[in-house]
Amino acid sequence: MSLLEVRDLRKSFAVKGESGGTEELIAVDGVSFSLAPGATLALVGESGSGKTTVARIVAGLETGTSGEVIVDGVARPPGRQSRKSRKKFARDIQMVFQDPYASLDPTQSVRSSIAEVLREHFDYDKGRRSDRVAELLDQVGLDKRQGDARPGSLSGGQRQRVAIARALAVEPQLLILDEAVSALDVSVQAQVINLLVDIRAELGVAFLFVSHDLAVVRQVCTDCVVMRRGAIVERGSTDAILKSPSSAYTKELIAAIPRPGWRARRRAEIAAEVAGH
Amino acid sequence: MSEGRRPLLRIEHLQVDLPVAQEMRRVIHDVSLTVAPGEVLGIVGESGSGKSMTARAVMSLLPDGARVEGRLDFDGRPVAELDVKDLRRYRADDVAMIYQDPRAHMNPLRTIGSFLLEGPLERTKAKADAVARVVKTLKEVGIDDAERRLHQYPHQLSGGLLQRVMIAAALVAEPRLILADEPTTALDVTTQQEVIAILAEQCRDRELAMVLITHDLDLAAAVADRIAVMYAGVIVEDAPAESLYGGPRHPYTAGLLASRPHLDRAARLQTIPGRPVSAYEAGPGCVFASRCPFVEEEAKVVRPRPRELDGHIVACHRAEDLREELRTRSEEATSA
Repeated sequence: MSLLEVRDLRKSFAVKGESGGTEELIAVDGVSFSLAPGATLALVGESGSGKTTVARIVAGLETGTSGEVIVDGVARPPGRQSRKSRKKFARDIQMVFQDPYASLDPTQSVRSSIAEVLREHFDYDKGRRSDRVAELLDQVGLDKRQGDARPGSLSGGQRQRVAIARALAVEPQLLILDEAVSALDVSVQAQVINLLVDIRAELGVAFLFVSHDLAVVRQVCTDCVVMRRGAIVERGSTDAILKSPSSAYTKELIAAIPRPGWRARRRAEIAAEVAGH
Repeated sequence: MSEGRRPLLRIEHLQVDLPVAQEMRRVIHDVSLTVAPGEVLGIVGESGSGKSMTARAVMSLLPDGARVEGRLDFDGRPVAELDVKDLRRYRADDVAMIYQDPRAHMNPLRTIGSFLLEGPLERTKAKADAVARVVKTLKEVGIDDAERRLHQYPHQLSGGLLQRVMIAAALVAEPRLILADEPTTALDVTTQQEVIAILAEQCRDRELAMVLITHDLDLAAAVADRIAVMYAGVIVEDAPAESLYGGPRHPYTAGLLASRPHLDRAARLQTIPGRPVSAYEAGPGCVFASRCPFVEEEAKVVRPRPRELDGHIVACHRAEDLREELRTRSEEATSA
């Protein structure tokens, strides 16, 4: 059975049109995919592709206009959720955001921000809770001293480790990572990518990995969905998609990535070449 | 490359301190650079490396209270000696800057036209000529419906279009040097490709010199003639792009190259332990000493001076010894 099943998901917003009236903006347009327990799936696309909206709907931070999100065989009821229902889904699904500067409370120590999550979801006594915090810190490669620190005195990479530890604290089955390594420096990004790969191997948690960066996706996810303007344009194994993309858009996306010998080309030039073939 | 030509920009032993909470903090230790007309120099570094501060020093736009030492010459004249009028002309006509976030550098209440015409109207009274020049420049950067865009406001344009407007604003002043600070970092890859292609094309056609500041080594290697790698306020290596990419001589460059994720395979990434340090945190020795896998006693106490090795300028005591080691490492990291 799938851990996560997304069926014909749609999301539209009412926006003010150029002529003053309201228009419908379709952010997500009939997206379906499924994810097995412990699997890794990337949602790849550029801005406006709808990848983050899909992730936020799966996480329960937004509701779709129509379609179904089924977690562990249970369909999430439409509309606003009760606190109890949200908490139940939170046990299964956790999310890590792009900006660890904005997603952690600056006044709370790392240790207490992790303990807070544990208090909310588990009936641990104080000793057990503190052991678990230590274990989580160790799992994400933070030391005791960093556990006492506040986010302000940590680097971007360390903060992202804290965000990962908080997400792992509830022992979720699915971790949604929304551009989780995009804001990090290259040398630190490599450390966090390796950490994610290790955590998955160790805990068997499934990843829904939202990213614009195909090279990063290659390291973390075996499967991949390419989105454009709210719809899926291609899906398959990351390896196959990168080696032999079938959609013109995926080809364009891969060709635009700088690499040795790469030359930036104008759109007109690319279009002329495509037309010539 | 344009070897042998007189450099347009020459920086020698630049050192910058900034006041932070009542004390002076070093942000640049020692930067020496040259850029020739028509040459593209990539400055690559992580956060806190001083790459953006170097650009601000070139523009003579450092924060108040900054202490600057060393030499910074533009076209043979020291920028520090320019009087107010000449400095204004230097910033307006000779050097143009392109920033990462165009939205933060445009007045949201003014139209694109008013933004683009501000510079030209300083120089000429003939408005029609100025408009014609702006429209022509917008078309050159790939904005075909330029006349319509002039009446629009920044919020009505996408990030990619706004960055093209920014490039047009830079070009319309007909500068001789462009400083592009992470010009495509906020853009999607396909838009990045378009913007970089426009920049490269314009630099080529107009014989412009460009300093491209970026965190992306792959981008720098694809666009620049030469790359300078910065770490904690020091240029640790400066070499022709291809040579630096294929055969780094500094352990930091090699580490940076090896830690990038690859498109063609999933493999455990080589990492540089720790986090990038800021210039003021660096000890008396090599700025990279605390993270270097090859560090020896000397590097912890003596700052290595930049010197030449195989056509690279490299600041490492052990550059000769490590030549082979770094070569095998970068081969391992780049081969599948």
